[in-house]
Amino acid sequence: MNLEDYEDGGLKIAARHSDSEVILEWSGYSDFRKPALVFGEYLEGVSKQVNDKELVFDFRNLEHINSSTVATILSFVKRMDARKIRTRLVYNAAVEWQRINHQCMRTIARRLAHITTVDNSVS
Amino acid sequence: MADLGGTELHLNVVGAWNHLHKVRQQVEDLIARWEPSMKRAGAMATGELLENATKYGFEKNGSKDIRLSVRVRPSAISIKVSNASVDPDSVTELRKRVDAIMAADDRQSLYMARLEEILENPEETGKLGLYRIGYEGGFDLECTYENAIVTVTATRSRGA
Repeated sequence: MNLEDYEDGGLKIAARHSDSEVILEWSGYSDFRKPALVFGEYLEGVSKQVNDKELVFDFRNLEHINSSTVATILSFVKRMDARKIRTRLVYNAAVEWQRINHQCMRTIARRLAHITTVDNSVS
Repeated sequence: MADLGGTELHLNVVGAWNHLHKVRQQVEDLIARWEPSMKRAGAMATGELLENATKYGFEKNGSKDIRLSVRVRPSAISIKVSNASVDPDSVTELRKRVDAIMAADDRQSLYMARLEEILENPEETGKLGLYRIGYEGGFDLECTYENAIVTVTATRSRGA
C-alpha cells in the first residue's frame, strides 16, 4: 500500500492504515471554490487502494469547511457506497458544527448500506 | 483593507476567495468574548456570504467591490455582505431561497432536502451555503436589492 499525505492551502489529510482500516485524518480548513478539483483525485487514489479494508474519514480535527466541501464529501461518500467500500465518518460531537454535520450525514447514511457515522470527541 | 474598531468590522474585499481565511479569523477575533460555537458560526456565515458574493457578484457581474460589515452588539451579531448585480433573475432566486429559509418551521428539513438533491445529482454542488447559515449557523436572513446592489444580512441573537 502506497498511501501519501495530502496538503493544499489550509487543508491537511494524513493517511495511515492498519490490517483492517485505511484512515484519513483531516485537519485545518477547506474553503476551496471547487474542492473536487483540488483533492478529488487524491481521494480517488486512496479509494483504489482500500481493497477490503474500511475507509475511515476522521474529521475531528477539522476547523472549518465551506458548503462546497460539504457537497464534495457527500458526493464522494455516495460513490464509495456505490462501489461497496465500507466507509466510516468520524465527527467530534463537542464542536457544534461537527455535531450538526454528523446528524445530517447519519440521516443520509441510513439509506447507504456501506456508510456509517460516529460521533466521537475522544482523539 | 480593514477598518477594525470596537465591535464593528468593515471591509472592502477584492478577490474575496483569496482572503476568506483571514477574514473569517478577523470575525472570530471580533466576537472573541462570545461562546466558541457563536464564533465559529459567525465565521462560517461570513465565509459563505462572501463566497456567494464572489460567485454571483464578482464572477457573474464583474463587480470588484464586495462590502462586508460585521456588527456585534451585546445581544446579537449581524453580518452584512453587499455586491453589485445586474442580473435580476439571480437576485430573485436568491431572495426566494432567503424567503424559504425565513418561512420554514423546520430549517433542518430545508438543509437536508438540499443535501438530498446534491446526493441525487453530484453535479449539483452549490446553493447550500444559505441553508447552512440558516440551519447550522442559526442565523436569520434578509435580502434587499436596491440600485443594482444586492445585500444579504445574517443576524443571530445571542443564546439563539
